[in-house]
Formats: sequence, C-alpha cells, structure tokens
Amino acid sequence: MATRVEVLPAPEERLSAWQWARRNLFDGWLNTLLTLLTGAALVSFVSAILRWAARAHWSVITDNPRFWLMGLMPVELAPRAFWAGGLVAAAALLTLGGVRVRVAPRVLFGLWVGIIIAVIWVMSPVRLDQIGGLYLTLLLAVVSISLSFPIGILVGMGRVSRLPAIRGFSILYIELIRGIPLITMLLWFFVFVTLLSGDAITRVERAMIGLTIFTSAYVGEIVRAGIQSVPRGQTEAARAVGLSAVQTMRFIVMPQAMKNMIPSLVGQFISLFKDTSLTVIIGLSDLVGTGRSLLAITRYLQDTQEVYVFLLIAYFCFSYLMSYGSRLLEKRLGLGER
Amino acid sequence: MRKFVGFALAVVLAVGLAAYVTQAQPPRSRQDIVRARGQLICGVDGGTPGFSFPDPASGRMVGFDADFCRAVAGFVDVPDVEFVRVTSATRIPAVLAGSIDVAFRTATHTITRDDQIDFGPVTFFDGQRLLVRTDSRINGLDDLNGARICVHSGTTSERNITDQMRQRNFRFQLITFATAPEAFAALAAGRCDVFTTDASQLTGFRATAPNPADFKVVGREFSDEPLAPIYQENDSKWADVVDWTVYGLVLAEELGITQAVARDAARMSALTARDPIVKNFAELKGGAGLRAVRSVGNYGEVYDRYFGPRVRTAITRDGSRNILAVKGGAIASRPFR
Amino acid sequence: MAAIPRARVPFWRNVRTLEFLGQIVFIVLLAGALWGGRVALQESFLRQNIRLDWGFFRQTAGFELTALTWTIDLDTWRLKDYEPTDSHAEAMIAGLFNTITVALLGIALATILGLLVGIGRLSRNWLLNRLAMAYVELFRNTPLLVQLFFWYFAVMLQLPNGSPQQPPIRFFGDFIVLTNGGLAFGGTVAERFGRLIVDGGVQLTTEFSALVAGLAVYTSAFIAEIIRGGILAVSRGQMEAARSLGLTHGQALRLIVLPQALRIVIPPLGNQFLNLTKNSSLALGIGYAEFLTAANTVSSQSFRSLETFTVVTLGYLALSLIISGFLNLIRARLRLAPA
Repeated sequence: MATRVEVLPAPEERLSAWQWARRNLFDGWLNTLLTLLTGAALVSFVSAILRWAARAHWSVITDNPRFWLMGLMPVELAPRAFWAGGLVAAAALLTLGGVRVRVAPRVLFGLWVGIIIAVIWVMSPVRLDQIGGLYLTLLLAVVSISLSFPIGILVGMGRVSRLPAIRGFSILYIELIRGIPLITMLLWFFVFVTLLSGDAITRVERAMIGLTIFTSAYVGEIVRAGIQSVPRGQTEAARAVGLSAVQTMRFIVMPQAMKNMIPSLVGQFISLFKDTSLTVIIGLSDLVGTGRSLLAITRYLQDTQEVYVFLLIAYFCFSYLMSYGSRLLEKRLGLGER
Repeated sequence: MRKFVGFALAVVLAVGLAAYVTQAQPPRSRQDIVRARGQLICGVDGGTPGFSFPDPASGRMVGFDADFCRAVAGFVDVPDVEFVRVTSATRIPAVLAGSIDVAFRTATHTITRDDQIDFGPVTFFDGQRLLVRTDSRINGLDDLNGARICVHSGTTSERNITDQMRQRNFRFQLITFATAPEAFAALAAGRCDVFTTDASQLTGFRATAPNPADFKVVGREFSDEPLAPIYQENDSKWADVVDWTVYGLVLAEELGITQAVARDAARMSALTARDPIVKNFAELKGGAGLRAVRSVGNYGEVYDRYFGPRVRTAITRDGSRNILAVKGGAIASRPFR
Repeated sequence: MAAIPRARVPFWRNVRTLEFLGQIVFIVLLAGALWGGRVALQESFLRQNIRLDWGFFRQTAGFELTALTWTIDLDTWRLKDYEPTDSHAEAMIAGLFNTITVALLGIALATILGLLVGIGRLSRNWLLNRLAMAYVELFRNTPLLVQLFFWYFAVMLQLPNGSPQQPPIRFFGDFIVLTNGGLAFGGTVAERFGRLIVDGGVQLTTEFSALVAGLAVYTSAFIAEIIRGGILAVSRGQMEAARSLGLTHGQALRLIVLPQALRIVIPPLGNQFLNLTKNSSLALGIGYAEFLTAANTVSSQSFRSLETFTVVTLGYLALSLIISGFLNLIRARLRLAPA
C-alpha cells in the first residue's frame, strides 16, 4: 500500500521592512558600503535622467504618432491599420489572460487563427511595401519567427540524421550562415535575390526571407542541442518497442527536446526581433528607419537623444514582453521543477 | 501510403521550385513591367531637404526628386508611385538588379558609374561647396589644412574633397556618415569643422535648420555635379520614358504650359490651336508629356515648389545653370516632333 | 531445433535501399536547385548586361578612411599606412585590420565588464544585485544597432566640442582630454578653427570609441549571464565542502569554484567573442571604417557592389572560421566538450 506523503513548503518567513533591509542591504560593513555607494550612484543617475527627460523635446515623438506606428502608409489606409493593430493587441491581451487562468491551448489557437484571418482581411488593400514603422517591425518579426521555426526544426533534425547527404547539407548550411554577420548576409542577399527574382519579390519579402534563412540556422543548432540532450536510451527503447524512426522522433524525442529548447528558442526569437532593426541598412523603414527619417527632417535634427531613447524603450518593452511570456510558458510546462 | 504521399508532395514542390527558379524569363522592357504592375517604384534619398523628404503630416514623400518620380509615373500612365529610400549601400544593387525602376537620388553622372547603369538627362546642375559654422574662419578650400571634414559616404563629394586636400598636401581628418543629415548634425554638434557636399543640399540644410544664421556656405564651387536619374543599363525603351519625361517638363516650361493649364481642357485647346509645337506636345505618344505635366507641373513649377524664392530652401535660379537653355542656362529640352 | 526462418525483405521495402535512394534524390534535387540558380543568375546577368570584373580591386581607391589605417601593400607584402592613392583592395585590407583592432579591444573590455556585472549579479547585496540585473536586461533586450546609434549620435556627439563655450573635459591636467572628437591620452592641446583639439599622444576617435563601447556593453550583458550561470552551475556542496575544510570564502571561490566554473564558461564565452567580432560590422551605421564599412565605400565609389559584397561575405566567413578553429583548439587544450 502506498502512502501519499504530502510535502509542505518550508514556512515562509515574515520579515518587517527593517529586518529585510538589514539582511539584504546592511549585512556587514562591506555590504553597507556597497549599498551606500550604489544607492548614491543610482540616485544621481536617476535624477540626471529625470532632469533630462523634463527638458527634452518630446514633440518629435508626440507629434508623429501615426508616422511612428505605420510609417509612410497612405493616410486613407491608416484606419484599417488601426483596426488590425487593435485586433492583434486585444488578442495578445486575451492570450496573456488566458494563459494565466489556464484556458485550453486549443481555444487560444482558435482565437489566433480567427484574429489572423480577420487581420489579413482588414489589411488586404494594403500592399506589403506600404507598411512601415512599428507595424513593419512586428510584421517582419512575426513572419520570420513563424517561418524559421519549422525550417530550423528540419535543419536541426537533418544535423543529427544518420544519412550522410542530409547531415552534410545541414552542417554546411548551419556553419556557413553562422559564419557571416547578418548585415553582410542581408546586403549580399539583397543583391542576389533581386538579380534572380527581378521585382517579383518585394523588398519586405526579401528581408523576411533573409531573416528567416539566417535565424533557421541558429534554430537548427538549438534543435540539435535539444535532441542530443534527450538520453540515447529513449531512442533505443522506442525503437525496441517497434516505433519507426519518424515515430520515435515525433512522439518520443521531440516532445522531450522541445521542453529543453524553449529558453534558448525564445532567446533566439528575441534576438531575431532585435535583428529586424538591421533592415534599416538595406533601406526598409521599420521602427528604426522611421526614427531616422524623422531625424533627417532638419526641424528634428537636434532630437537624437529623444529619438534613440524612445527606440530603446520601445524595443525593450517588446523584448521584455517576449521573455516574460516565455517565463510564463516555462512555468506552465513545469520546467525547472523536474 | 501517407508517407508516399508526403514524399511525392515534397518532390513535386522541389521540382516546381527548381522550375520556377530556372524558368527563362523573356527580356521585357521596364516599361512593360511598370505598366503591368500599375505602379512605379522609384528610389529617392528621402532625407535631403528640397530634394526628397517625408512629410509626416500627409504620409507622403515630397521634394524635387520625388516630383520627378511622379512625373515619370504620369508619363507611363500608372496611377501610383512607391518611394523606396535607397542608401548609398543599396542604390546601385537596387538599380542593377531592377528592384527599383528608376532612382532620382542626387546622383552625379560620371564615366565610371556609367559602366554599370545608365543615366538620364541632367535635372539639376550642382557643384560642391563647403558649409561651416558662422563663427568659423574658414573661407575656402585653402583654409582647410588640419581640418576635420564631415562627408556623406559613398558620394562623389567624398572623393572630390580627398583629391583637393591631397593636391594641396593638407593634413585632414575625414569623418563619414551614412546619410547627409547625420553629417550636418555632426557639423552642428561641432564634431567637424566643415561639411562638404553639393551646394544645393548645403543650402537646404542651412535653410531648414532651427537657426540658419549659425551656418554659412563658403568657397567657390570646386566640382561639377550634374545630377541625373539612374536606371538599368541597356533598356532603351525605358530610357526613352525617363529621358522624355524630363525633356517634357522642360519643354512645358519653355512653352508656358503650367499644371493649371495642362489640367484645363479649354485653355489647352486654345493653346494647341495657336501653337503647332504645343499641339505636338499634347498629342505625341498619346499625350504622355502632358500627363507628366498634369501630375506635377512643368520644370519651373517643380523647381519653384522646392527651391523657389518663397520656400525656405530657396536657391537662386537666375544666373545659375539651372535656367532654361533658351535663356542662357543649361537645362535643355529636345523637340517633341 | 528448427531454424528461425529469415524474413526476406524485398529490396523496395529495405530501409537501407530506401535511405540510399532518398539521399540520391535529395542530392539530385539540391544539385538541380543549385544549377537552376546558377542558370538563372547567368541569364539575369546577360539580361541586365552585368559583367563581373574583379580588376577594379586594383584601381586607385581615392578616398580617405575614418580610422587607424594600417594596410598591407599588395606589391611588396609589407605593412604600411593606408593612403587614398592605394587600391580598393588595400582599402578593404585596412578595414579588416580595423575590424581586428575593434574586436580585440571590444573583447577585452566586454570580458572585464561582464565579469564585474556577473559578480554583481551574484552579490548578496539586494541593491547591487538588482542594478546588475537591470543592466543585463536593458542591454540584452534592445538591438545593438540602436544602442550604437544611441552611443554615437545621442551620447558621444553631444559631448563638449572644444569651443570656448563648451570647453573639453580634462582629467589629470591635459593627460586625458575628452571632446566629441574623441578621447586623447597624453597629447598636447592646441587650438584650431576655434576649437581646442589634441595633437599627438594616443587618440581614440569618437566613432571608434562609440563602436567599442557599444559592442563591449552589449556583449558584457551576455557575458555576465554566462558567468553567473557558470558559477551557479558549480554545485553549492562544493563551496560548503571547501568552507568546512577550513578554506576562507575567497580561497574557496578562487581554488574550488572558479576553476570548475571556468570549464563551463569557456565554450559559450568563445561564442560571444565570435559574435562580437561579427557584430562589429554594424559600424556601417556609424561610419567607422572597419571591414564592411570600407567595403561599402569601395562598392559605392566603384559601383561594383556584386563583387565587393561577395568578397566581404567570404572575408567574414574566413574570419569566423579562423576564430572558431582557434576556440576549438582552446577547448581541446582544456579538454572541454565542444559547444
């Protein structure tokens, strides 16, 4: 007969603010000195920032909200973009709430499919190249993430395949791409894809393809590490039970590997989100491009600090949201509690 | 069975992709491509006062160069222009590979550049000068020994100034920027002692600065910068379109056909009845030249809109080479006959 | 005892045959795609009348570079200073030298900064700990390109410009002088064009400083996390055992924990060094003449972008392979598992 043993967490200590401060800030002379020094530095730094923020010319931000959001999109199409943005924002909020109260993933998935169809319908008269600003940044990130994920999985599986031709190709692909800086690749790609395709592929699509090819190599490497982190015994056991190689991958290895991969994958996707800023160098007007074209207007020439601080804040918010979401996901999947 | 279907699907996809890639595309003129697309893709700098800059209020690209893009669209009769901001890194690949149809991007026509791409007629005659802060003692190239010089990288200005400095055996420090406004901002911040590029751009930056009195344009013009549109090499049909758009706007100014006249059928018919040259202009090539004028006005109107005496970026036209050839300048048309 | 009948697998269901055939199909498809791409490229070269011409690399460059400018004279294979009369190829070599300089200095600074922040991140002092965390989060979660723009345009260029109204910032007399023209050590201050500038000594230009600072700060945030992770990965028991043997906290850290952490830390650290080197190409945004920026200038002056970008891509590939080969050598020396 098995007895259930209930393991209770250790009783929580209740500390008064003073006790907490004594323990964490003023514990010994060295710690006290450190606290005082960092505190003083922090106070002077924050007050300098606040003083700067008070006299900064925020009009470059506040006067051009539509320009920041969607760049040079024709004015008559702007309401559609607002609708689409509102839909996506609502869906994102619903998802965050849904994850918290643990709604079934299927429901959330359905919600997103619906939202995406609605957004595509709303935005149908808008050409890809008319999109700019924050919208373009998000679009580039979302499309490249959703494309590089499946491709990366294929490449990663190819990387550990037994078949020499497939493994060789995957290794070559991963190592070549990882050997060149993204910006070089984008420039090179910009030239050669244009030569191959003429103008059949728009600039935005070219950037998406470039980002996808680049990120897939890194995702492939993460997938390889994930697969190799699953003990060999698992594969052998699965094969012994009679599962085919594909089935073993699909039902035994991948689900376990995926759990291990989530933190690095999210890291990679955050880095992809940040990398979309490089498209400004090949002439796209994403969020950074919008900021720089505002700075090119001589009226705003002196507002570099305002523009770049705003850009840093904007990118930080989105990246942080992504890492927050990933931590939520990790918690739900019970990672780190094994 | 399912495996087989998947495999077959993959093969079909791969073969299809290969076929798509290898598919021989018949050489088409850019003119047909633009017409089929219903839209002109035009490269501009997008950050040069007067020439091309975004207007955040209307969400449109405006400027002298931007208007020429619209005129080309009017000439080929497509309703729409998409403006692509091309940087010095991307303008040549973009034109070479045909991802933009034409670029009006303050590009100087030189013989080495002509190896790779073709140039249209000159739209603006420019020359390189120096921009300094008002309190500076620099009055020309000869004062520049030991100076820190800001330039827009990848331009002819970058080479010209290097040549001039070397010829004088001067020591100097060159600081390059990816865009012209950044170079100007660096001059304003005091990173360098002088910013040098085409005089028209210098005038534009000075005029639109919050405090124009802080800067002055000095020295004589020390280079010849005929600015012309660029497009793909060896497409003479498309070259005709761009070239005759420019000629058309110039001829319209000679003939006194303004945007208002071009849009007014009654006045047009009065003019055509009186003047056979106007009649030709209005009718040849399906009235393409007239359509260009309808969309942006004639050369003089476009000039005045961005460099005329009433705007901040004013550049005196009288006495410069940018007046009509018939008045002793260098802006010339060709007959529409 | 009856022999177990050997099942005869027909060859079309034999896994080995299938795998073999599958690979052949894959190779054929791949070769087809490559060949197709080649044909299409050739056709498009013909159609657009593009002739690749590598000879322009030997033509005179004619532009000055914004940087320390060593290059290799391609006729005598000697190190020399770059001059505008040198060829395009020599301009690009000068850029490569600058990339290496930036990478070495950036790696050194990033490691020091990362170590400090990583240790701060492990501090028991709550304030320091949180501050280090804020540092890591801020710099890891924003694009490097924007950070570089920020450092260069919003910070460095806004420093005093040396005019009488904005006198330079000086430390130790005139030993260190800071203006928006750069950081100078041990030069003599002179007045030129109404600005105080420094002659001689060691001078770091604004572009160089912004690039190195930006790269170092960005990479240090990642290094801090790696170091923190490495130290945390050494199990706590190790520390406790060392302490119970009578070692002081410092001794235990130095003799027991750090050597073990080092083995964990080195492979990912090497990747960060590689990343920093590759990221130095973002100098294109702020105009410091490293490899890509020099190449970009060559490309826009000669209008030969296809050739230049191909050479740049191959150049970076070679650089990365050399660095990762070097890192693998170190790993092999330390008998570490490859990253």
